[in-house]
Amino acid sequence: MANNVDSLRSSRLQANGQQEAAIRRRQNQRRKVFGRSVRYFWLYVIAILLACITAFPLVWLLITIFKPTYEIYQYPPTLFAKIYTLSNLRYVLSGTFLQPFFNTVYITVVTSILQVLVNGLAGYALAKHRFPGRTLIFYLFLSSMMIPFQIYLIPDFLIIKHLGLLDTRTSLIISWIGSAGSVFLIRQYMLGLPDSTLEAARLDGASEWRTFFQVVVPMATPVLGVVAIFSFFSQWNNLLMPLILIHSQSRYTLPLFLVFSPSSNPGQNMAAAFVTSIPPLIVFLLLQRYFSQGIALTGTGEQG
Amino acid sequence: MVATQQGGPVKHAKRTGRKVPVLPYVFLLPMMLSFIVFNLIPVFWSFGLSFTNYNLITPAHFVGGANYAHALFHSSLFWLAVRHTVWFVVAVPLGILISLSAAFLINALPWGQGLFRFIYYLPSALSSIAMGVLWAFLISFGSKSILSVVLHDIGFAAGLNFTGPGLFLVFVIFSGMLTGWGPGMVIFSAGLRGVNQEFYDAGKLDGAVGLKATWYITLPQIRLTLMYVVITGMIGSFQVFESLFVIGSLGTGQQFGPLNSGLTLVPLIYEKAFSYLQFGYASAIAFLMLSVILVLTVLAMRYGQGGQALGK
Repeated sequence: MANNVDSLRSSRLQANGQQEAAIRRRQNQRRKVFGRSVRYFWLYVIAILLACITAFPLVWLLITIFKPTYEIYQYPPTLFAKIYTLSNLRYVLSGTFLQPFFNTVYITVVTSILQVLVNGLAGYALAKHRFPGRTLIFYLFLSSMMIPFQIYLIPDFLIIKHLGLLDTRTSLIISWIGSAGSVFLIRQYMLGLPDSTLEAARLDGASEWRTFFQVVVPMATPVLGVVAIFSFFSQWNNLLMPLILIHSQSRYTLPLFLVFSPSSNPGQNMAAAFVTSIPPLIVFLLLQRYFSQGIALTGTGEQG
Repeated sequence: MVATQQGGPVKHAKRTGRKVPVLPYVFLLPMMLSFIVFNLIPVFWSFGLSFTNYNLITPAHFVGGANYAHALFHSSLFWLAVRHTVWFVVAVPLGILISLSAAFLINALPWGQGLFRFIYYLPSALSSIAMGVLWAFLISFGSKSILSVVLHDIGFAAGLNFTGPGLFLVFVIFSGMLTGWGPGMVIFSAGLRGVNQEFYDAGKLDGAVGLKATWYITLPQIRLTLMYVVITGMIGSFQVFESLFVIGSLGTGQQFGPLNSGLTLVPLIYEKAFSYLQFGYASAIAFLMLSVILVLTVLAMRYGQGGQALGK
């Protein structure tokens, strides 16, 4: 298994490699030959074609939002409309949409914070403390990562039912906090943090809790950022859990709302789908730096 | 595991004078609570349920292996779901081929890499549910759907009906591929940049250029990444549910498409458990699925770091 410090270091080396590649590219351009530019031309044709295919549904979505209903229903359908309207956007400002929206914001934000805190503490204990049972607990978490989430589905429902938490927003939060995968990721990263810094904090008289929050958390921001993004995405798009745990329309999350209470006007549905997509997009753009590191942490680790 | 050697013992724990430090357990407590209640107990509970006829209303009775036998030998629906699931699994390498080709393409572009990467990644960065709503809209109205018309305009057969039993499954697979190849592309793109340039320079001397260099230098270098992405992709496709449910409900008016045409294993578990309250039978199907996924996961653990992709 890859050492994460090494992987960060190698990503820095990659950056150097990129610069070299850029220099090389510039040199290439200087001695540009006819064949090369023809090849580039075809590369761009393919790239643009692929971009068109990828973007086509999204473009259609965006334009549909501003079409009046009768234009959406006309046959054959056309991408552009004769008249545009803002009336579909009013729908996403109505209580019908805002209620599930804020339900989802609340559940997702609380889950993400708790996930980072709970799994962060667990990962820290497993990485930087020695205590009886540490290996056992670690392997327990590790082996649970092999079990698909669907195995838990029925008992989770029964447990939530026995706890009397069916049809509450709390049920969605507490069933989504602990993630063995996150603990594993955090532990692996924290193993690479220097013991000397932690020791120095303790010698300065910082309590274990203060050491965690003021020394460990700042140093582990990349991995905690990754966990925050992943838990945000997974909870924001969580369909299966609300499907079995939530019944009342007033507690619907966005996925439930989009599937079970669609408006009869497609334009309004497209506006709702669009607004549903904005928070994940913002989180992605803001934390993109951590995200690409996260892919390095999860995806490209070399085998040890 | 290099990392384990670095994570040495913390001397502080000894200094407190106690034999067993308390604080690490306090740190672990919230996670352990959540883990025991929502992961550990459920595994055994679910396994136990799979040998009963529990239905939420009447008390559970032990039925031995009857649920497993029913699924394996008497249920055509189970095997239908297996067949549909295999479709998704088999489609994974095709999606990965797109990701890999796009990664090659992007890395070969002299300018505009960032822009194209952003566009290609965009559908994956948006809400997957919202994308499902969008796809459902594009195929609703059957053979007169927007997608049918657009496809006809660019030269495909007229009047393709993606909401019918014939094409629904194929459509969900392709739309998922079209929406979901971004992350693979980013992973491969990073992997390709990590390949040491010296290998190519050395390869050039031996006449390995172009496709030859790709085959003999690049692919072996990113072999582990490739295996990891393929296996996690297959595990993910075993668990497909969301896209079938959203596109089925909104596009065709039936939860998993018309005439069970989009019924895979997880939808079958969901339907048996929460529509028919056959909790025992549904648990048995879940454990049959688990046995296959376990094999794939062990492979994934061998080839990658495990990590979040395998967690929730």
